[in-house]
Amino acid sequence: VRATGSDRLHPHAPIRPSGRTQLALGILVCGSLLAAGLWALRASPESHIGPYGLIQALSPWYYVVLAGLLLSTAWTFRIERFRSPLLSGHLIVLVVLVHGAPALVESAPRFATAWLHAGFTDYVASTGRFLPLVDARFSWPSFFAGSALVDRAAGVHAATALIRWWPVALNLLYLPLIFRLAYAFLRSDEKAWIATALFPLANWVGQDYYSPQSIAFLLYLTFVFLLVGPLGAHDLPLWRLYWRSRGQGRILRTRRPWIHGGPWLVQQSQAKLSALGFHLGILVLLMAAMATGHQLTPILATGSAMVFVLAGRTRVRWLVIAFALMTIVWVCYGAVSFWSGHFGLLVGQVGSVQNNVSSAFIARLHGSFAHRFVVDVRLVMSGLVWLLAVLGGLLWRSDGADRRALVISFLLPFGMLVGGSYGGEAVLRVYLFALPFAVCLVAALISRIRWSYRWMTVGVILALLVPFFLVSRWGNELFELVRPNEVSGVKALYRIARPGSTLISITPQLPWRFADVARFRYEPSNLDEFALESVPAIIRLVEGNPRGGYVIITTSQIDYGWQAYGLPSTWGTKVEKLLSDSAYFKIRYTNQSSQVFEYTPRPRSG
Amino acid sequence: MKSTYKADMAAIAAFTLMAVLAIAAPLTNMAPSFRLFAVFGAVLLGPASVAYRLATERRWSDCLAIGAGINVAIAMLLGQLLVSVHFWHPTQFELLMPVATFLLSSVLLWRVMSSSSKVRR
Repeated sequence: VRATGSDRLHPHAPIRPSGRTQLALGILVCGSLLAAGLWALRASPESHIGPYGLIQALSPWYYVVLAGLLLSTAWTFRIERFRSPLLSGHLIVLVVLVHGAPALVESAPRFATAWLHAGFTDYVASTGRFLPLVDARFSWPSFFAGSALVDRAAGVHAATALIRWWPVALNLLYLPLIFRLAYAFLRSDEKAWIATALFPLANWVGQDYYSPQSIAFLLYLTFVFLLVGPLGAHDLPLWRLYWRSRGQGRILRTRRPWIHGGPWLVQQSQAKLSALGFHLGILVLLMAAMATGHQLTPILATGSAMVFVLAGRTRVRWLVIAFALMTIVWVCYGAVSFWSGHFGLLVGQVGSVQNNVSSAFIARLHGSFAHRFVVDVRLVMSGLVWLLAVLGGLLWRSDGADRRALVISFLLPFGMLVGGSYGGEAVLRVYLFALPFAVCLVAALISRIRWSYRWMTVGVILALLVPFFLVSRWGNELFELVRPNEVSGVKALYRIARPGSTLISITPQLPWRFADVARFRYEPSNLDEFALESVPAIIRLVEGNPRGGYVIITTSQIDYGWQAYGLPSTWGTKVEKLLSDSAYFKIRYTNQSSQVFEYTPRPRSG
Repeated sequence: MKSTYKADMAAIAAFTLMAVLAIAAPLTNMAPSFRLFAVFGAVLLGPASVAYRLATERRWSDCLAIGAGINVAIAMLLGQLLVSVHFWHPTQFELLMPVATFLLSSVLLWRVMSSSSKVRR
């Protein structure tokens, strides 16, 4: 997007043509900082990751590089010529260094759930079938189907090959859309760049790992941008139009076509009309992919579309009904195996805001001191971003439709707290879906500052966000990282275990099910049943299965137990000892980070 | 067309090259990492970006940013369709995307060439 005359930083700013030398210098700085950052990350020892996460392991040089990068980024805001390519370069380096840090520090790709999703993808790739009765995520399976399709064509034998750099790739794909979205609302090159620069450091929620929601969020951003960008409008809000038309004796709803436009449509050239039709087709396509790919995103997308219609910010009007219908039809038809028999579970939390907020906030405020500190930092950071966004909404002077649409879109995701707790993750989703609009409002707030201080303010805010981000995003790395020995342990378990047997994990933090998803029974299936501490509790889960059962205990599971569940730090050793001493269990495999026990229904003698 | 002739030609060359690589990948003994790059590159630089350029004539930066999301959506729905109709032949059907990119790039090339020759006349 090219800056217009009104987008310039300041009419009286001392703008000198920076020339190609400045561009070359900027590229050189970016390249050097990237190389230095990668070196600093490689020099950070994985073994130093502690209760406060990755921040304890990062080399001091990493912070020096980040400081240099942020200074250079803030300085680049002052440049008039080649500002866009230079800022793009800086933000690419920033994303690689902050979102790719664990990929370079840790020996194995991180996060147990990403390994699970890789297992789902591999199952679809090898069988061409879904398993809706095994896992609810298969009721919205198009992410796994698409990923399996591409993996197979690319000759990828295991989707685990993709998960290491997935967050970096996804964040790089989000940024151009954030820029465009911000530009559509703020109508300024500079403000849009500020919003885009804030996004990677404000996005601490970690929903960008190899998962359906990471891709669904990309589709959501594309969808929202199309509604307010190419299909955008600057009308009166719908309620005012309604009252106005009522006063004139006209009924709005009978006069409005699917696309608002009236005479506008007649005046358009054939090319413009074909572009319009193309955009509408894309919206339907994106909604179809979202509706079949993730349970929450299509609801938010439909809600955002409704907000834009109400605020008079989009030309698309009655098509919103089609979006809602697509979502509902998929839930009724495609996700039938998810809700049949669990309807109470699905709608039981609707309206119980207190319970949903409690499970999202209070239930997370337990565990070890370090874990509570990380949760506190997350809450402070979220509160800070929301506060700045609210201030931006209050102080920003703009065209009514933009401000109305932006503020309501920012507030809309908070409505999710009424809908359900979403496994205690509702607040994470609220933050994620509010974030694109929040950074726009923060950018609008920053733009109220005098030009001469503005670039410094950007630099200071970015620098403040770095420690918050590193603690919030990578603070749980002690149990979220995957140790190579744990993967070896799980592979050994798969070799040892008989097909159809029950496999037990004492906490959910285990990189398993990346293979043989349908070959075994996995227990426990409910999050509340984890943190198993007694032998009888474990036996209850395996004794009904004639094919036997196995228990796996790994370092990450033990760390998760004392960090997140607040168990004593020795609880893992205690469970290991109980199983070793029990007559019902025998050790089948052991390495530095994992142990596999087999259940023997008849107690061993002696 | 809002972008320059040079930008169009560069984009057409990039899209065509990626499409050809992705078509050739399953048929030849390419190195696995190169094949991965070719196929994933052909999804991100897939037909939607070229179609978007053809239909809307917006800048290439817009076409690439929006096209990436649409291409991903196409891959998801194509995979979903193949599983739903129990016709799981991913390697063959994934080729639809680079083939479509190749065809659309050809159409775009023809349009760019014809408009530039009109300008010259």
